[in-house]
Amino acid sequence: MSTTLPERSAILLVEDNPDDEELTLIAFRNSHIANEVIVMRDGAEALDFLLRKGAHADRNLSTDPRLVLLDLKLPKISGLEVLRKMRQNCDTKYTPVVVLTTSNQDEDIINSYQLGANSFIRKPVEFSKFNEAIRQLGMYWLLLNEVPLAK
Amino acid sequence: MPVQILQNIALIITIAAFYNILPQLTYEKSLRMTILNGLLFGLTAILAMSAPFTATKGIIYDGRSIVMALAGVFSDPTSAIMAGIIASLFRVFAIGGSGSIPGVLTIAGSVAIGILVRSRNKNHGLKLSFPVLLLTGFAVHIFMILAQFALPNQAWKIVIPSILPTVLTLYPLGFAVTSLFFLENKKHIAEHFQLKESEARYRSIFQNRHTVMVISEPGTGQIIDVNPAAEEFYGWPRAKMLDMQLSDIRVQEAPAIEVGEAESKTPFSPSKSRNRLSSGEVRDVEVFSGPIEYFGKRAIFSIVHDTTSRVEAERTIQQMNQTLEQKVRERTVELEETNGELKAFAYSVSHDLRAPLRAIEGFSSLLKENIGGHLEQREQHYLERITYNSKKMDCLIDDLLRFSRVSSQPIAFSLVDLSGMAGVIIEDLRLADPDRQASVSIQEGMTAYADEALIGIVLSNLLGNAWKFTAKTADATIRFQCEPVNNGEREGEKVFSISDNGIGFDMAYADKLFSPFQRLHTEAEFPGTGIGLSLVRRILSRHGGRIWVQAAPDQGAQFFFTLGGNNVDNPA
Repeated sequence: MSTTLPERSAILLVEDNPDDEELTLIAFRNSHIANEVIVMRDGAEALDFLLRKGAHADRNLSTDPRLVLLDLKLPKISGLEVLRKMRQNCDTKYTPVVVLTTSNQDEDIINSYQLGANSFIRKPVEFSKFNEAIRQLGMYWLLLNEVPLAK
Repeated sequence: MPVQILQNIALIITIAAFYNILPQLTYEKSLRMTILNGLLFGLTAILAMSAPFTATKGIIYDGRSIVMALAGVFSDPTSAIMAGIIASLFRVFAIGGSGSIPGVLTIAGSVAIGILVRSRNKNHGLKLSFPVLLLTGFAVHIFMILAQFALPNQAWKIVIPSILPTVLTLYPLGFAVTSLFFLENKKHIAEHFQLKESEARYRSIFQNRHTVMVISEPGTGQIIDVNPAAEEFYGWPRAKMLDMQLSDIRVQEAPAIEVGEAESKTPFSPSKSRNRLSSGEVRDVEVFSGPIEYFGKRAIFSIVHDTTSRVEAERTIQQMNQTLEQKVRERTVELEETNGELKAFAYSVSHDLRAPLRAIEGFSSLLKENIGGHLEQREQHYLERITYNSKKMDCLIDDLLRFSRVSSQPIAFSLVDLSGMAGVIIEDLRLADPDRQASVSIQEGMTAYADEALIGIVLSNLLGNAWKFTAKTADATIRFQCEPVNNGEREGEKVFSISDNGIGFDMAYADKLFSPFQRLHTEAEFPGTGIGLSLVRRILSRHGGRIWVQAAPDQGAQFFFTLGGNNVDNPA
């Protein structure tokens, strides 16, 4: 049985800090990125959503994200663990993950790439720079980048 | 007549025997012995002359020629001459008569020929064999015959024929035989003395007061002899120790002064043990044992070294090492914990401190964007200060993280071209600030073994500071050079210096300079976070180097630094 699936368009933002969440949403808006942004506030919730488990077991497949913006320091399950689980699951294996975090520790960058992150961006403190970063990553990952068609 | 001659020869043999009784006469060399020898030979000659064979009145013949020749050959020349003088005086004054002149001539000739033969023997290796001695006897007595021509009134005509047969047969033979007797004696005496000397030598070694020596019987371990050092060490008198066995002083089973085994072992192989003293004290000893011959019996000779203090020192060192290792382990654990905490702290700083900062900055930016146009100038200023300080704090956090990273990351040494690196840094500074006029001189060919990335931080900070603090100076000059220390303990160590003629500072604040986040200038005067020099010092100290500074207000500053042991001009 084969079903035609709608093209993915949602952005999954995994972010526990409400200020950062708000600023990110503002930045998306400022950059005229109109894609739906789904926000998960800890690692466990994010994994449930991505792998359709627990509270998200029945979610609509159309909400499968086109891009995941992942913070590393998260309550319950860390961003790196979320990444590992995603890459182990065939549904989320190729979903682009951009690590968007405050840290610029070398080991975080290395670990992220080792676990299959597609990009690592350090959130700049200056809001104008943050705006610019979000604009560019939206442009690149949502418009330019191609991903394999979902199964 | 023959009886008298025999008497004479017997007399001579007596003197030879006398030599045997007084062996020192021929062996010991001293003035006393020289005189004694001279007297002995002289008196023997007198005795010989007292039992003469009288040819006619005043002309006597006796064995003095033999005595004198023996004195010449076997005693030293001084004794021989002395004996000759004694004999001559006796001949002239006690006997007198017409035979005095040939008599004295005979004495002198005999002594002279004897000394001649002795000197050929001593200096030219002439062997005193029987034929040589016989020839010597002939020579002496031919001379004696010739001396008879000195008799007045041609008395020789009667005398020579009457004495010739005896003097040329029995006399030389007598001399040769007596000489052999002397030679034999001499040999024995020398052996006797050598033996005595060697015994005395060994005895003195044994009597040594510092080295403990024990002689014992194989098998039973019965102590046969001990030296004074052993008495002193063990604390028992020798007599008491001779009643003891080795087992009485040995503490444990392990071989101490080993009884039976010493013979089968390599002679004088050392063994470790513990010995009991008379005081009851137990000492650690090292024993060297081996077999020896002792008064014709097999015995074990042992040298005992007291090693108590050494063994105790070894034990103490071992204990100290263990304590030290334990301490090192504890400290390592502590350090690892601290390090882990530091890492967690740095991680938390980079994450958690930045997030609120970003919110402050973000929302104030948004506020400014949204209502900026409607704000009073003062309100606008407030917002700007918020933004500025957020950015400033961001820089501080960056510096803090860099500082902690420099402290923990391992150092990778390689040969770094410092001159080239400094040139690039200055070029960057000029590019960033094209209007600045500054004369920069960098000594060519400066290199160092260092971590390239870290030494880059050092140079950019120091050169950057020099650049920054000469901003308000006319004819700004910056110099980077290197000079090796030319004396003292640190001779050859390369000392690098970066100097400027900028605003400098008061040396009273020099100690603050290298602490993190300490500043000597206001942000408005010269921007910066104050982390730079503490970072520099941290990096240099991690290289094993140092940094120090010389400065005065408005006269510039000169920073000196070294890069540790790997950077000495003459690495011998």
